[in-house]
Amino acid sequence: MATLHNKILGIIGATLIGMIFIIYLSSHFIIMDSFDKLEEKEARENAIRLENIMSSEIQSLENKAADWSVWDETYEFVQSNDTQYVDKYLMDETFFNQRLDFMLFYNANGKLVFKKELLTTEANNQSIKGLEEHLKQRSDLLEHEDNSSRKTGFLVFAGQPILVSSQPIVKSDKSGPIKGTILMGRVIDDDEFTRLHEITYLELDVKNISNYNENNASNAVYAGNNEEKIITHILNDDIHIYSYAQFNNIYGADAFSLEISMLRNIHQRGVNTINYFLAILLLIGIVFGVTIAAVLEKSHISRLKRLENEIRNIGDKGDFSRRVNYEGNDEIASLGESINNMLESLEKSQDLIIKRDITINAILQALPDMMFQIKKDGTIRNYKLSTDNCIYESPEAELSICLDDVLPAHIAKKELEIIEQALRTNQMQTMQYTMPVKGEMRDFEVRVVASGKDEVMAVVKDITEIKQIDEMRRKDILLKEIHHRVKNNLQIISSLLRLQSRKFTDKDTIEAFRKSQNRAKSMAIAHEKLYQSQDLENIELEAYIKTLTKYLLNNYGYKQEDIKIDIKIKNVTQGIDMAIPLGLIITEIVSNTLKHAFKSNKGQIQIELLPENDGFYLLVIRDNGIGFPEDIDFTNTDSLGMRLVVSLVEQIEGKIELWRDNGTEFRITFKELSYNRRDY
Amino acid sequence: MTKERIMIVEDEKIVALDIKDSLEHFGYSVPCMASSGEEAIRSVNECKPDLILMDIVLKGKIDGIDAARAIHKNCDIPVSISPHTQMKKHYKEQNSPNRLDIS
Repeated sequence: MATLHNKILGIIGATLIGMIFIIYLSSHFIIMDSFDKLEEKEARENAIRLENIMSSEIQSLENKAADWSVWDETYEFVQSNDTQYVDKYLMDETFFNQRLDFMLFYNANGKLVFKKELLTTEANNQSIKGLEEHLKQRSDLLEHEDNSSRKTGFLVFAGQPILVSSQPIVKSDKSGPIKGTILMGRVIDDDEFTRLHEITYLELDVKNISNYNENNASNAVYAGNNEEKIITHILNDDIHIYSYAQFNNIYGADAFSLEISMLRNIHQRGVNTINYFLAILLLIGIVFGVTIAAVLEKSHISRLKRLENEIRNIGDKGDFSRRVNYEGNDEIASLGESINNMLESLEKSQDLIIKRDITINAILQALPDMMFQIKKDGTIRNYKLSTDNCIYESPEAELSICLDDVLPAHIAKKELEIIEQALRTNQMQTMQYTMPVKGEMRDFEVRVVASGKDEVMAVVKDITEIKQIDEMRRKDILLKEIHHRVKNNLQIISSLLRLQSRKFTDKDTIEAFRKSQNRAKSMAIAHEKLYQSQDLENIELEAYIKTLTKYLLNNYGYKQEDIKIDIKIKNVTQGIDMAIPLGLIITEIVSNTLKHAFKSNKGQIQIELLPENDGFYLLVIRDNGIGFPEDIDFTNTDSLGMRLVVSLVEQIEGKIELWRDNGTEFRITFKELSYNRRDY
Repeated sequence: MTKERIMIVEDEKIVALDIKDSLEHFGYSVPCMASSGEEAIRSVNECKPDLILMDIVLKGKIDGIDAARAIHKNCDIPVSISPHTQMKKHYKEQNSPNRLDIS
């Protein structure tokens, strides 16, 4: 890992190296350039010095030659050619002293009169021979316009330059006429170079020697003796620097050049200086870099590392309740503070998530419904049955169950379709189905909600009971309708009977109709009470009998103030099968009472229904009227009403007794019949 | 002396006939009958009864109570609503108009 530490070291290092490099390069250029310029300047000055020396050599030769040429003795000699002159003046010592190698005397006709040369080396002789040959070919140097003409310069023959001066021979007082020409000079040979080296302390070498060439110089004439060129042409290698002094020959063509080689001490000193400078720079750089790195390490990086370690520890353990330590008030401290703030938020969020987790878990556990996490292809990833552990906590491991394993094929196929639809529309889809569970057909409702890209949550509710209740409610509504209808029909029968009765005037007939009408009405009220009751099965007898007796009272034209009806029935309910016969019995007896018992149109009727032991009930119908006739056996009479009462008591498997004590009292004992509810 | 005019609103025609017969027997006049709330509201202006006997359960979309309310908006005719235990309880809770006589 490229740590911050390494990065900082790298950056500092690279910066320092770059800086050093740039400083080095620029200083190299500046310093080396000036050193090199210095060196070049010196090399050039050396060349100039050499050139000056050569010029003075030329001058000196010219002066020496003038001593000979402007002299009466020579004037005489060139005309007479006497041996005395030769013996007297042209001695070898003179030549040595004068540093002359040869002397040539030509008369005015251009004929060589005398020739004196020092026998030194073969090469030198060759060169001098070359000069003689040249003078035979070309007479420029032998012709002088006036008495003071001087022609001095270099000529190269046989690979060696010759310094030569040609002067007209005149009298000592410089008067003419010119009787000839004297040429003298010396060969610039190795000895000459050695002498030059000793004078100048310069390493010299002759270069670019061009022999005199007749063709090249054909047009040239004597060009004077100042035609030497200083070529400050500098050549250098790593060790030497070379400068050149270029000399032309006497005719102005290239003759030779002298190469001055110099050890590059100055350059070398420059290099050393630069290296020394570089070393110091490097040293400073290293010290500087190490110092900065150390300071940074101490002041920032170590703190950052500590911070990082703390954060990593927190991250590894997932313990957001911990905090990092920080001190100071710089950016690192502020980073630490920010991290602590973040940790605080994280801790809060974590707490919130845990709380929500617990809540969601609790909700899921409390839900009785089954839940399935199903993939698009029907694979069940996770599930919770109604009694199982929560789906929320289920393991990560892949379950190898699919819809076909838990549902019948046709239902599984349908469910796959709605899963697909739920995923496509992103809306909840529901479906109901019935399937056998433990040998019993049960109804289920599944709600499918997309819970991922290709995953849904299916909540399956067992709706068997709900469906049954629903069914029951529908049946109850139907039943209520039927009871209502029955009541209406009985009401219609009752109305029909009354309407019909009005067509008669005969009292017995009217009475017969009225009784029939009352019987129908008593049944109508029973049905009315039934559909008004909560369960559609049991009739609250108190309300029923109150309504019934009120109706009868009205129907017989009594006012409620005159006939007091006292009903004592507390919380007794009976099914329709029992309530109808009881209602009819009460109708018959009360009708009978109302018709016969009260002569003064005033009286009291008591109806009591008392629960007795063993599920028996006692129904008492009592009045304070004139009393049931003693001579009539109510069990055996022509009266339809009494016959009905007896029959109905039989129907409910009860017993009836008649008490004649202060009026009339019928006591009917019966037991609640266990009629099973008919299966609708 | 003019007879009191009573209007009967009852969907069971035979029952209505029975009531009419009984009322006429007692000396009242029953000039018109209706079998639905809508019909009752329509004919109440022509008929101008002194009293309306109204069944609660009727044909048509509105029941007896709603029909009585509608009639009460236009004219001041007492409406007697026939006894019906559950309904009675229900409408008493609802602060029904004073002139609705639920007997």
